[in-house]
This record gives sequence, structure tokens and C-alpha cells, in this order.
Amino acid sequence: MQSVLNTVKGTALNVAEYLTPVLKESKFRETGVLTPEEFVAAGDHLVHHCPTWQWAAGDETKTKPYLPKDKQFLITRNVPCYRRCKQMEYVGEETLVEEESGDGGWVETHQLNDDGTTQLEEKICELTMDETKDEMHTPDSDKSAPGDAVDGEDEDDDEAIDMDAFEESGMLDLVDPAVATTTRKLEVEAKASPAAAAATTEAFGDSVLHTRTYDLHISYDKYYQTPRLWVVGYDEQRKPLTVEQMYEDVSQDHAKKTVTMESHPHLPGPNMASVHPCRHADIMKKIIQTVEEGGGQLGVHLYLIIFLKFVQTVIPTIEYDFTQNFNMS
Amino acid sequence: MSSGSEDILQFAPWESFVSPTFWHKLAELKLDYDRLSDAQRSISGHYTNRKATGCLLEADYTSFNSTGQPPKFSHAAVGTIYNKNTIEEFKALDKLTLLSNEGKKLLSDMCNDRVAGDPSLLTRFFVLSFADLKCHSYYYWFAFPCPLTPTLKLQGAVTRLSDLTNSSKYAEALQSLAPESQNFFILYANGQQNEVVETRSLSSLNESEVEHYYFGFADPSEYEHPAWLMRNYAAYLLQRFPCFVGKTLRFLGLRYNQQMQMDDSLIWNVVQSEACDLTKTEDVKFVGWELNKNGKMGPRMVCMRDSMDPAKLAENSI
Repeated sequence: MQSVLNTVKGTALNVAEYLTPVLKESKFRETGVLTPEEFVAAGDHLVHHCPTWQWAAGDETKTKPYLPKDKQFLITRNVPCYRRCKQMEYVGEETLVEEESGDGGWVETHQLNDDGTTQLEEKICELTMDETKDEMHTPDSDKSAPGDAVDGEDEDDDEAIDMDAFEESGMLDLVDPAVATTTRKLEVEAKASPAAAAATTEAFGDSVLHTRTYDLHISYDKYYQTPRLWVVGYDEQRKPLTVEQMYEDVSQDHAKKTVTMESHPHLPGPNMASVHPCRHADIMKKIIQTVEEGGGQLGVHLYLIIFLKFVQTVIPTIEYDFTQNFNMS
Repeated sequence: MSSGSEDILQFAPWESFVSPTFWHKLAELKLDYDRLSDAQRSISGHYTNRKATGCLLEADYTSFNSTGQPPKFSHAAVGTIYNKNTIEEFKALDKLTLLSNEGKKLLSDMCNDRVAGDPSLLTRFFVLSFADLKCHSYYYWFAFPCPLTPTLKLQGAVTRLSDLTNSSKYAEALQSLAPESQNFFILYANGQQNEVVETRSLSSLNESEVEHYYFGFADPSEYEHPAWLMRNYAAYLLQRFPCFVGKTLRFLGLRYNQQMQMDDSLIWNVVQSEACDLTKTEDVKFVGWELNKNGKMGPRMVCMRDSMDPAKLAENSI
């Protein structure tokens, strides 16, 4: 139901966005919002300090005039995501970052130690192994073509198309000794995994079966005048994840509420998962206030770094680069 | 596999990896711009040599942009799409002629030496497609044309870059290389002149210095085999400098891991003993159609109904 509301609201907001004038004056300090120029400055800072991020131009037909042509949005690709959210939820203590909880309260479910690892690593590893078998039987794991896994679940109502009829003989007549027959290592690993699961934790090591990867985008939301985070995930065979699968990587407090499926401003194609920006400015304002109370000052160029830190509570298992530090006091 | 004997060097074939946004953009272009025209369109693809999986050539919505800007740590490939109007046309088209026509474009780039100015021309690919816009099914077949030249013989074992003496010097030189010129380059290493190690562009190639060269390229293969694109690279070098025939050429496949270390980079020493004239285009045979999922010569199909069909979209949004 929430998602229907979101869709309706989303459409209305598209109209509103169209009518909203581009923010000209900096209101960062008072309200926590950004002008497009400030977004670009903060983006440049992020790209400079976290080299996995880069600017992207997006679809040429969707270029927004208030942003430079080659700096439409920010992107980082192939970010690893080693485990599902539900595997870590309720394992660790949650800390409420904000007092007024309500629907959109930011809950920190995941705390990193200084060295970037979690103290819960071992427990999680055990859980991972237990669930290996379930994960093996994802419906789209071997049948569907790369790319069509956007659907994944029900292909039964499609009439079966006989692709064999398209095969061409005669083209293999040319003997080509220089072609290697290759099997992707990942697939080999996946097949061997029940054995691997039974083996020691060490052998399991880094090649955990369900390593998904995510592409993260940060666009500028003209209506809310804040950055907006988009995520698109792929499974270990680099097939796009379904919406439901993607919600497994979103903190359950946020799935379908803070994280919604909407159309990306710079991309053609299906709706993408996005962290709804309606509360970003409020949170940013709180952070600015905290810093200023402590006698410090927060430059607008740090906006995206801070932004990435607070959206981490929504997607705690996606290990993107937000390593830059800033001082709260 | 790499024993001391003279093995034939084998290449890891490209695997196409198409993002759903590619089909969405194609559908949009077909409905709003191309309509009944089935003229070919220039597209671009990209591949990465950072933590490569398989040997992927990726295509997404940016493939249709007029100025291709490959993602970070990726390199551009030059392509064409032939989108047919009907499934019958798609099926009936003479695939071998199409491959050889595309292959001849590649040869002319090699023979005119346009490659020296823009080495990405060596990574030419094309897509034959049919978009069934009513059923939201997309039939497609990628091909990566490559002249069928005499085989390269592998000399000795495949070496890792990190196993070379002075490998840190090599790494240092490679790090100074601008990201946009990493797709194809020359690493010059002269042991006599107090260890000069530097990178150069393909256009500065001097045939008399061949023994000091490593022919470098960004290698998107995760296997011990070099990626398919090295085949075109070797064909180009042997065509451009016929005196290379019979000489040992050193190829360096630049491979990064997630942390951008290049320890996994491999070096192949190869020899081609027979000359081959690619200017006589009529005699040259081409290979390069991608196999389908079953390992057969055939196209692939992807059903995009769940993200394109309005009825499905309405259903899923409740």
C-alpha cells in the first residue's frame, strides 16, 4: 500500500519538480539544502577524495540544464555486498541516532570498528553458511538470460520460444584453434559451494557465495534540493537483481518506506530503488547544528561525504567508499 | 597449460553483457526516432580490466550516446547495431557476409593505420538485433570480428608482471600512464641504457626497437588466456610491421585487482612464423560470432516484459 502512495506522490512530485525554480542562493546553513552549484562542488570533492566515485553524463536526452553536461550525477560501480540485511539484523545492538523516531527515524543497525570490520563477523559467517542452501535455489540462477533477470520470478506465462530454431550450422565450419574454451570461475565456485560450505570457514573465506554487487548513483533532486541516492544491484553472475531481492539488502525499517522504486532522472528504463530524499535536508540541518554547537564549521563541499555516512544506515551491507572523515565537534 | 613447448596461444572470447537500460533505450529510439528505418547505428561498449570477471563486453544506455564516456577503470569499444524490423529479416540475414563486411572495416582501419591514432578501433563489435516491441522480447547476437590469421605460438611460460626482476620499475612506469591511454600502449624497457622503463603511445612505435617493447593492453580476461582483443592487436602489429613476423613479441595484459594493484598482469611471449597479408581482403576469413548460452552458434533472447509491459508494471506496483 505504501508503495502505491509513493508512486502517486512520486508522479505529483514530478510535476512539482518541473514547476520548482532552480535554487539560486545558498541555504545550506539555514535549511540543509543545496544549490546545483554546491552539488557540483561537493561532487568534485567526493570524486577527488574517494576515487571510486565519478561523474556521469547519463542519457543525453535527459540532460538537466541546471547541471554541467558531463556532471549530471555521480556513480560508483561494482560495490561489493557480502551479506543480506536480515542476516545481520537483530544480531547487533541498534542505536537510535535521532530521538523522534516515527517512520523515518534513522536507525543505526551496524557499527564498524576502527579497522573497518565488525565484531560480529564470526556470527554472521555462521549464519551465511546456514542459508547457503536456500540461496542456491534462486529461480533465475541458471535459466534466464543475462539481463532478463529484472523479472526473475514468473516466466511461466510466456510462450516458450524455441531458440534452437535460430541456431546456424555451417558457421562452425571454420576451424579456429585460437579460441579458448572458458568457464567462468564464479560459476565453478557456485557449483562447488555445497562442498565448500561443509569445509572450513577459512576455505569459505572471501568467495562467499552470494556476493552481490551494487552500482550507486547520487543525483541532484531539484524538488527537495538535496542529493538523492539510487541503488541497482547485481547477483554473482552479474544479473540484475529483482526488486524483492534488492529489498533484502535494505534495512527492514526502511524497505518500501524510505527506499522506494522510482524513475531515475538521468536513465532510461525501469524504476530504480532510491532512498527517498524527503528527510535529507532535516538530518543535514541537525548535523550542521551539532557541529556548530561544538564550535566547528561544516563546509558545503563535505555535504556528500556526510550524506553517504548517514544513508549507510539504510543500506548497511553495501560496502561503498565513505572513508573520508569529518569532525562532528 | 603453459609448458615450455610451443603451444598455440588461445584467446578468451568476449562475452556480451547487456544492461536492461540498453533495451529500454533501444525501444525508445525505435519508437520515437528510427520507426520503420532499419539503418545501422553507431554504438559504444565498454570493458574493464579491474577485477575482471569472465571476459565481458558491457553495453548499456550510454552505448547510444553520441560521445561515449566509458565508466571509470573501463575502456571504450567501438560498435554498430543492426536492428531489423522483423524476425524473418533477422533470421534470413546472411550472417557470414555481415561478419565479413564488419571485418573489412576493421581491416581498413588497420591497414590505413587509423588504429595508431585511435587504438579503440581494435575492439570493434556489432550487434544484430530484433526488438519485438509488442511482446517486449529482444533477440540479439553479438559479434566481435577478427581476421583468421595464422596462429601465434606461445614461447615459454606465461609470466606474471610481479615475477619480473625490477617489477617495481615497470609498475612505476605503468602507473604514470594516463587512464585513457591504457587500452593499448607500449612499455619500453631497455636494460642496457641504465634501465629506461617508460610507456609510449602506439603511434610512436619504432620497429627497430621491438626487442625492448612490451605491447601493453588493458586485459579484461580473468583467465590465463589473454582477452580476444589481443588477437586484433597482434594482427594489427604484424600487418603494420611485416618484419615482426618470426620475431618474439612480448605482450603485456594489464590487469588490476579491486585495490588497483597490477600484480596479476600477465606477459605472453609469442611468435607468428607465417606472413599474412590482410590487405587482400577477399582472401581473409573472419571469426567472431558469439556463442549462445548453450555454446551453439545462435542468437540470444531476453524478455523484458516485467519492466516494460504496462500491465505488468501496474500489477507489480500494488
